[in-house]
Amino acid sequence: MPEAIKLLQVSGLRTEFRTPAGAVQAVRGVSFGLDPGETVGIVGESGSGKSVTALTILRLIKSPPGRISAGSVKFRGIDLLAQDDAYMRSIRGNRISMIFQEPMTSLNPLMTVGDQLAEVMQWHQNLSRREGMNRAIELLRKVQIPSPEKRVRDYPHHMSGGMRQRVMIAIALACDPAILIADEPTTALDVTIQSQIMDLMLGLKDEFGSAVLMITHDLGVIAEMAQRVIVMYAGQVVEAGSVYEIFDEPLHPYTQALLRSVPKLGSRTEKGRHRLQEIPGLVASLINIPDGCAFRERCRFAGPECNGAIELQAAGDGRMVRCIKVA
Amino acid sequence: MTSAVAPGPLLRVNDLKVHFNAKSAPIRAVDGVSFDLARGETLGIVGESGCGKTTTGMSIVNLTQATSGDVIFDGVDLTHLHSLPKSRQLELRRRIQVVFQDPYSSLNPRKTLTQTLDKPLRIHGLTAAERKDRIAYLLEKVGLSPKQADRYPHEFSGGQRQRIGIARALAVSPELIICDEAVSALDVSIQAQIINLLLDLQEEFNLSYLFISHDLAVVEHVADRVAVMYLGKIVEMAPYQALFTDPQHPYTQALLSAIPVPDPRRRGARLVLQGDVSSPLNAPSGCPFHTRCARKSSVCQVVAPPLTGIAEDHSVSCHNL
Repeated sequence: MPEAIKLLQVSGLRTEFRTPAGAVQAVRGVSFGLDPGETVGIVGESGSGKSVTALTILRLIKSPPGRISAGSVKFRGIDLLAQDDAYMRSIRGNRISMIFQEPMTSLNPLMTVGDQLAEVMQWHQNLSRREGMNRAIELLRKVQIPSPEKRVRDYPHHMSGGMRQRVMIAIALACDPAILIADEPTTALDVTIQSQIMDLMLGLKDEFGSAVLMITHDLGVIAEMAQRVIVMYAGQVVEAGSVYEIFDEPLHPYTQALLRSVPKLGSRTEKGRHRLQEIPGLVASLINIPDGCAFRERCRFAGPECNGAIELQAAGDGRMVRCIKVA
Repeated sequence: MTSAVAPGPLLRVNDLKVHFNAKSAPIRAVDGVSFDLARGETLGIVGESGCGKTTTGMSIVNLTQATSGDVIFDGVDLTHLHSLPKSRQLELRRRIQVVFQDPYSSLNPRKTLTQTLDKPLRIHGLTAAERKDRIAYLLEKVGLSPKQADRYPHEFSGGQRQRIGIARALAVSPELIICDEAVSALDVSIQAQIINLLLDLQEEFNLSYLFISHDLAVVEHVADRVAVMYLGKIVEMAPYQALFTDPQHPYTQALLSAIPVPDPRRRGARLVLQGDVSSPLNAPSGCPFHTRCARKSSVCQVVAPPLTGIAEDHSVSCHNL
């Protein structure tokens, strides 16, 4: 099909992990695209495969036990899964960079933040250490760290959690990447700091123009930041659409139930301490997954027709849903 | 059944202080906290990391030693628990239980569900037959199957483990349960199950909850009254309606506004508070919040504002209301 080359096109991605209990199928045929400058949110609960999807895109899956068993990740038309390690090293932190949840464990405790920032640019842009340090100060200023000339010589343990996450963002943006993958970037932070980091990311996104793949379990963060949303459950995309479509008119029973089960600020009625709408049962196990809809055992609409293979289907302009009852 | 209903609250905390390293440079983790909790009531304690909410809860059950202040539970001062006879200590301990945040680290991985639940019952003197019945009853109450009774913690999911933690707390028929971030580690779909379970159990057993959480949306849902803590002090305390619809302290206002709402049409409405959460290691003088406050005046840097009543049950500590 003659189609414009996407910035990022993930197709039929499958990742599994070998364990004594059997193969854990963490990602089971995930496909989506990302356009320049847009922010796509991937939302899901523990074990939905959202983080493994992100790690697979950058080939950060340890093998063994992990294995990328099928699919392709095309970055500007080039399949990253078919490239050698040297090529991947030239992509990571340069064209596609990543921010992780825990800024304490993802920074090197033995290097100053300035050296860590400069290292990225020395590696990818052949800057000298001095040039790298000057750029590092500039970047720390961009992420609004006060007195960056001093802070550049700090070690991570000198900084608060919010500051460390700012440093992580500075490192990720150092080489002006085309894609920024943010895996739960605000989850470990207090709410007032989370709010600062979200504002910072929204501002820098406009300035740098990177596309952002935002991975989170927090529907509030998604509503605040994303333009398009992908909902994952048990290693599959169950629904995709614009942020307004997903929140205003969710189609998949899982998305509907998820939105209803979140306690919303200001939703408690006078005197009425109503029970929350819960989703019964447990999150599906990813070992020996039966055919059919993975959500059916927790779904109030499920019927015998849900036991067969269910494809992700188009449901209107750009919307996708994996439910036989809807499509 | 409880004995004659005492007038007064079930729990009264008065000017509680917990200072660590008190000799050289004291860290004032909890610095003069006072509140009451009635039978069957839920008091939510909210705040960010390091505000002292967990230390407050832990010092009530003597897991952290209070530096000064009183913790009066049904007329008895728990800060002097050790001076009471052993049997009396045991009886008081039975009546307050804790549900912890992390259902992975708060259960003994080498004990089956039955063993975990059996221990408190044995300590509190039930016979083997009574214990067996009680365990079956508890499992049913928290939504676990008796078939799972001989399994180990690793065989359960996070939500199921938190049900075990709740069963363990319920085992000895407490009157007060301290829920320390009891649902924070859970996925939203499971979190809703556990919140509903806690609400059902409260109704059935007339439990009092001290519900410690950083998640204001959850607290709004479960609490009757809410106390907001900042750097070891309560800065605002009010019934949930007043606190969530008419917050008065600038910190409460900022905290409520900072929460991202799951509604894309309300994006960008957050009030962004500048600066980091101050650390109790170098707490500012005067009002603990003045370093981040948009409303601060010169007096705030010098004098710590007292918690003052502004309406029935609603008190705030701020010079510039």
